[in-house]
Formats: sequence, C-alpha cells, structure tokens
Amino acid sequence: MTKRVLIVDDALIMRMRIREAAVEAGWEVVAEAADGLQAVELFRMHRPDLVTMDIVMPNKDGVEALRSIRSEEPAARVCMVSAVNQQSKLSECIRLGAIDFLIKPVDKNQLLSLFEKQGRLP
Amino acid sequence: MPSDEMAEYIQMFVDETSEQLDDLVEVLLVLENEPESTEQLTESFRLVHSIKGASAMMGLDSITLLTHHLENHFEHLRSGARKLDKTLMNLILKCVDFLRNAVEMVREGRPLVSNPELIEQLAGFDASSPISNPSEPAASKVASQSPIVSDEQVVAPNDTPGENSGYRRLVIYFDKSIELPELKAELILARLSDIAVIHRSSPDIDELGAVAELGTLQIWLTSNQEDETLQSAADIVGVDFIELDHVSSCSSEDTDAVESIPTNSVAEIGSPTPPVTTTTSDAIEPVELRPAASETKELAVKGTETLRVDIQRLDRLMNLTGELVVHRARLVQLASQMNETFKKSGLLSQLRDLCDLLRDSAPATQAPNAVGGNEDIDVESCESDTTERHSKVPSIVSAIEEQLQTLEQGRRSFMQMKEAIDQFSQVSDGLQRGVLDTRMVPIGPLFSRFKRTVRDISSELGKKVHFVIRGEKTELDKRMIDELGDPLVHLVRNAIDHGLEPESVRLERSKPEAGTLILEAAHSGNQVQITISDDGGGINTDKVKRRAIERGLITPLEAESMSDHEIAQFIWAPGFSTADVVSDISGRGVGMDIVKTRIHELNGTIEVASELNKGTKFIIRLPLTLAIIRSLLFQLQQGIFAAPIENVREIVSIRDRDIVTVHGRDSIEIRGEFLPLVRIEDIFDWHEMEYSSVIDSSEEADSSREGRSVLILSSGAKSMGLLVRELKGSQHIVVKSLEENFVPIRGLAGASILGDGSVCLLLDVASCVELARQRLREKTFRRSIANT
Repeated sequence: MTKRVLIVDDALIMRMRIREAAVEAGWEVVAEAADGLQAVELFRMHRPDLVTMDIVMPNKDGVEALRSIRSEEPAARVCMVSAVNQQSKLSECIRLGAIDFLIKPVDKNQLLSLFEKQGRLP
Repeated sequence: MPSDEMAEYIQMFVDETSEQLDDLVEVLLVLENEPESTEQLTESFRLVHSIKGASAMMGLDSITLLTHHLENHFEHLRSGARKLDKTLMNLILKCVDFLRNAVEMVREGRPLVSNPELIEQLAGFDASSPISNPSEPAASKVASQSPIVSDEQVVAPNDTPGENSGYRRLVIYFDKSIELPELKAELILARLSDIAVIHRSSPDIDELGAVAELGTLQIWLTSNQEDETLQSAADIVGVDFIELDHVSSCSSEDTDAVESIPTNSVAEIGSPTPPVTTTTSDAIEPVELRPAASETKELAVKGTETLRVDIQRLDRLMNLTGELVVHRARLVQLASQMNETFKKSGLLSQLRDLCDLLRDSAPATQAPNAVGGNEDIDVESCESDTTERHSKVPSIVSAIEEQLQTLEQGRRSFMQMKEAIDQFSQVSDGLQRGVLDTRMVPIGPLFSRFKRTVRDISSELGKKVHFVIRGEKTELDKRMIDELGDPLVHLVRNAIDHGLEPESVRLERSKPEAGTLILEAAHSGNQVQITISDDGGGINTDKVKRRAIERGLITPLEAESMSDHEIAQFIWAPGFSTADVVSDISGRGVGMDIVKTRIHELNGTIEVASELNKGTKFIIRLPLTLAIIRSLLFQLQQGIFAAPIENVREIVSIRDRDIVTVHGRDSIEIRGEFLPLVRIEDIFDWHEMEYSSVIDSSEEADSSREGRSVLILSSGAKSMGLLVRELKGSQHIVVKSLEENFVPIRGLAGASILGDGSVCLLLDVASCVELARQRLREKTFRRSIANT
C-alpha cells in the first residue's frame, strides 16, 4: 500500500522540495500545511503515515503541533525539519516523540532516505 | 543542488524573499515603537529564519550567513537578553538593505558578493551580547532530560524477559556528513528506550555534546523485542548501517572493533551510567519564551489562498481579452447597422399588402374593355401584350411572397442574433472585468515601503515627520503599482527635504514642530487618485519665477501675465530646481520632470497645488488599468480620434457667434467660465498632403452649419474646448502603444483598431491641453511682437 505523508512548512519552496522527494520515493502527499494549526487539522483529517514538520511557523509552531498530534494519536510518526540552531527545540521534539529530524538545508538524499526508511516500516 | 533544478526555484525564492523582506521592514518599524513586543519579535525571527532556510537551500551562502547572524540577534531580543536600541535597529535595517540588494542580484543572475563588514558588525554585537551561544546550554539541557535509564531502571535488567537473556549491543555507524549527530544519537536513545532498557551507551549521553566528531554510537540494552524491531527503531536518517550482536555483559570488552570509543569510557567498564541529575538548571533557555498560542488576527488574515502567476500570462490574457473587446465592438456595430434595415417590420407588411393588392387587381385589369376606340389599331397587340404581362402577375406575386417569407425568417434570425450579441457583450464585459480584477492589487504594501523611506530621510535631515497613510486598501493594476514606486519616492523625498521646514522655522510660523506628510489613495470614478500632501512651506513662486526667467524659460514680460498656479508648473520643466543647496536627498533638479513623464506613461496626470507657508499637495490621477480605456470617439477632418471618457467633461453645441476673443485667443463661455477653443490644427502639425483626399466637404460648409460640437476636455484643473466635426459615441478601446508599433508622438496616448478595422488615435488629453496652450501662447506672443 502506498504510504501517505503530510508536509508541513510555512515556506512554499520547502514544501515543494519535500513533495518532490516524497513523490520520487513513491509516497503519496495527502496534504500540505503552511502552519501548525492547519497541520493538526489536516492530520486529523488524513491520518497520514508520516508528517514532516517545520519548527518555526506562524500560528502554532512545529513543537506545539507535534504535541497536539502526538496527544491525539500516540502512534503518529512525525519527522521534524529544522534549522541547525534549533537544538533545544529539537530535543524537546525528541522528548515529545518525534521519530526523526532533518536539518535544513535539507539535502535531497536525506529526504529520500527518510521516505525510504519510513517506507520500510509496516 | 543541480543548476537546472536551481533555476526552477530562483523565481520562487526571489518572490517569496522579497515579500518576506517587505514584511520584515513592516514589523521592524512597529518594533521601533514597541521594542519589546513579543509578537513582533517572534514574527521578525520567523521571517529571518524563513529567509535563511530558503537561501541555504539555494546555496546562497552570503545571504545565509548574514541571516544566520541576524537570527541570533532576534533570538537574543526575543529572549529579552538584549534590548532593541537604535544602533542595533540601524544595523538590522542595513542588513535588510543588503538582503534586498542580494535578492535583486539573484533575480538578475549576477553573482553574490558577501559583505564582511556587516557580518563583522553583527558578530561584534554578538560578542558583546550578554548571552553565550544559545546552542551550548541547549545541548546540556538535552542531557538533563534525556531518556537514559536512571538507577531504578538499571536495577531491573535481568527481569526483562528477552529472547536472549543476555545483553544486546547495537553499533550505529553515522553518515559523516550529517549535522547534529549528537542529537541524532539522542534521538536513537530516546526511540530505543521506548522498547528496550538501555544500560549503557558509548559515548555516554552526557558526553555527546562534547564529542567533536561522532562516527559511531554503541548501545548496550536488554529488550524483549525482535532484533529487527530494535534495528529499525535506530535506523533514522543519517545512519549508514547498524550492527547488532548478542553479548554476555554490557562491558566494552568486545568493542575493539570500534575505533572511536573515547578512552575515558573504557575506564568506566562495567559500571552503569551514574544517575542523571538536573544540574543544568542554571542554563539559560532562550527559545522557550515564545508563547504557544501566538496566533494573532493579523497572521490569520494572511492565510488566504493565493496563486502566484507569471504576470506575462496575465498580460497575454489581457491582450486576448482586448482582442475580444474589439471583436465585440465590431459585432455590435454591424448589428446596429443591420438594425436599420430590419428594424422597420412595417416594410415587410407593406410589401405584403402590395402583393395582395396586385393579386386582387391582376384579374380585374384583364376583364373590362375600357380602352378607347380611337386606339383600335394597337389595341389588339397592346391588349394581348398587357394580358400576357398581367397573366404573369400572380406568379410574380407569389414568388415575391415566397421571398418575403425568407426575408421575414431572416429578420427573426437577426433579432435572435441581436439578442445573442447582447448576451455575448455581457459575458465579454464580465470577462474583461474579471481579467482586470486579477491584476488588481492593494496599494498598501507599496505605501508601507515609504514608512522606511520617511524614517530614513527624516532622521538624516533631523526633521520630525508625522507620516500618515490613508486608503491602503485601494486597488490598482499590478503594473502600475510596480511603476509608481520610483515617482512616489521622489515626491516623498522632496516633500520632506524641500516641503517641510526645519523645526525652528516651523515653530516661528507657529506650526507643530513635527511636519505632517500624508500619503493617500482613493477611488474616484474610473480613476485612482493618489495624493501626497505636506504642511510645509509650499512652493515659493517668486523664487520659481526668478529661476524660470534666469533659465530663459519665460521672458519677464510673460512672467507678469502668469498666475501663481501657472508659475508653479515650472517645477515640471526638465532640470528645474530652486534648491539653493543641492542635498544628498533631492534638489539636483532631476526628478520632477521624470516623475511627470513616468506618470504620463501610465496614462495618468499629476498636478501640484501649493500655498505659501501652508503646504504643497501633489495629486496623481491614474486609470484603473492601462490596457482598455473607455473613450469617446469623434470624427475630425483627419480621421477618427478618441479621448478617454474621464477627460471629457462635457459636450456642447455652439454657434459661430458664441466664439469670442479673449487675449487674442478664440474662447467660448461655458457657464461663466471662459475656455480656450482649440482646433486640432492648434495641437498638431499635419502633413496636409496626406489628408487632402480625405476632405469630402469643405471646412466652410461645415462651419456654416448651425451648431458645432465642441468637446470640453479637461485634464486636472485645466480645460479646453475642442472643435469636432462629428461625434461617434463612446466605446471601450484597446490601446496599442504607438511607441512600440510606430513612433511616439507627443499628444497621442496610443492607437486602437476600431470595429470596422480602421485605426483611431487616442488623444493624451493632458499633453494636448499643454501643447495647445503652449502653441497658442507662442502664436499670440509672435503676433504681439509683430504688432509692436
């Protein structure tokens, strides 16, 4: 079965990059969100296999969105996408149960690797 | 990123970043007044962060580097560790300028240059910052809350039922190029701790931050999970491969294969990880200050769904719509011509009546012998002839009746077609409006940019300026907004530099010490009016007059007869400046004429109204769009012309005796106001040869007619009457540039193709009025010289 991903990032260009890699890896992009509020709502709607989550976003940041999503669905798989100087936020995300993280600028190979590794899981 | 892939994203990057920079400036200006607004600080941080992210992805290192430093500053500001003061603000604004410039260079495909000076200044601020690099305390904090086992958990390793009662050791090999491997290690430990009990790791979780280069991570754990599950839990992005083996104890006896184990961990062989204490409470955590519910109304509004479209596509659509409008006009015209033919259904019924009459009378003419006897000779032949002819009548009549039926059908079809054309017109109107709408953008962002300009200029000149923006929701064609920037900057600069007096002078004149500058946009009819007004010194007309005479623009004699308003118009003359000192900001005399030219290029007008010591007001009037103009068409001797309907104040009919001479010029009185009466020859020089054949009736015959149509054309405050031969009604015309297709002609705004395929010239009323005045003045001047 095709794996489904929700892409969350406030920058269109990032969303496009991630989408491209996801499609190349054979994933289906169920939705894209540009802020945390949208992310939670779209997660609720689609229950994707994976969420890629930006951290610094308007309305609700990635950490809070992760918190909401994980409290609603403890099995949710969320991969954070973050800038290099956000370590403290990232460790908080790790505590909150993020399954992986990528550091911006995100290399396409890393994105492909993420989808490939997550795709292997049942 | 490969170069072709890069090119694909450049446009998007440039657009997005420019917008973000605009937003950033907006936020910064708010911050200048409320330097501690968490909301604004968070927003500016977010913007800088986004720009950094995007530029890093594009490989634009100099932008990334700068934004990285900027971001640090905002991080400190947000955490309250530093206050936003003027010096820092100026530095930040300088960075914004640099970024804007850099983005522009990216757009043009030029190589980026970095600005080490700025970076150094930023870094200098960094060093003096009371906070150390935020990543360090963050790393130690990570350790404090990491999911590594505490004492209690260690007690129970043997209780954990496993498929193998012994320990398992995972060796995780990291990709050398990944960033933050220590966090990756932390993540792996966190994930494994959900499904296993971790007894030990090497390097130790506490040392992760200190390890310079993390190549491998060893973990000793016990778990009841399958090997595979453990492996996949550790297999995250950045992990090259994982080794898993079963060991008897969690010692590193069999770790010889792994080179990168720090030597100090060897000393701890066999000892479980000491309990973790929360000793890092003194670490400062600047990032946490951001409120979770930072949603503001403003941010929510920005979430409307939009689509970015290449403006060229819209232009193409606009052109096509233009063509459609032309064809529609043609159809409407044809229909109205045919209407004349078909309108009178009376004709058909009359013909039918005639047919009936003929049929009735045909047999009657055959019967009687009413012919006089005197003409017996010819009666036979004549009678047989008429009889023969008369016998044909019924067949002719029925043939005609058949034709009439076809004609009647045609008439009905035409009526239907007329209806269809009406509907088509409506749809075409709707389409035209729709296409125009897609190009309409609010003027707000353009105006907001001036907040920065005003701030810079006023602080440079040491003048206090109260800047007011009104009507920022007014919408205007996107292209016009783009073109308006430069002229407006000029006017704003001029207003602050020349318009507003220095504080001391203002106080002397009992004005508030802060000058007021108002930038305002509003719709008026089919136009948008932009006003820039200040409460400064106004235009010193004496000075302008002097300068104009000095420069030989007018003679002292002429100057005497000119009103203040007329004199003020010399500010539009090329190279004209009354500034005593040329400042950095304005006064070089380049500008006002260029401003005027630019506005004219947009089919707009600009006027100045000024009152000494009260202030100056510039009024710019622009059409809503450039491409389609509703115009009044009229026939002149030389062909058909059009004038934008906005410029036609009224149409009057005059007789020859209504024409009076005022100051040697032909004028007419319209409701108490004397307006110059102009013929098209007074505006343009015509090559008479070309038109001699066109003249069908002589001008004399024309003028002898009772009543001649005069268009009262006005541009701004100036009006004139233009004698026309015949009015052709109003129409939407699609303006084609003369400059692109032919040569630019002063006084003509463009040309258009009419429904019947003929070309019509569109008058640029503002310059026509000016040309006429100029030429008439020359004429009267020459005449007055000849008389003396």
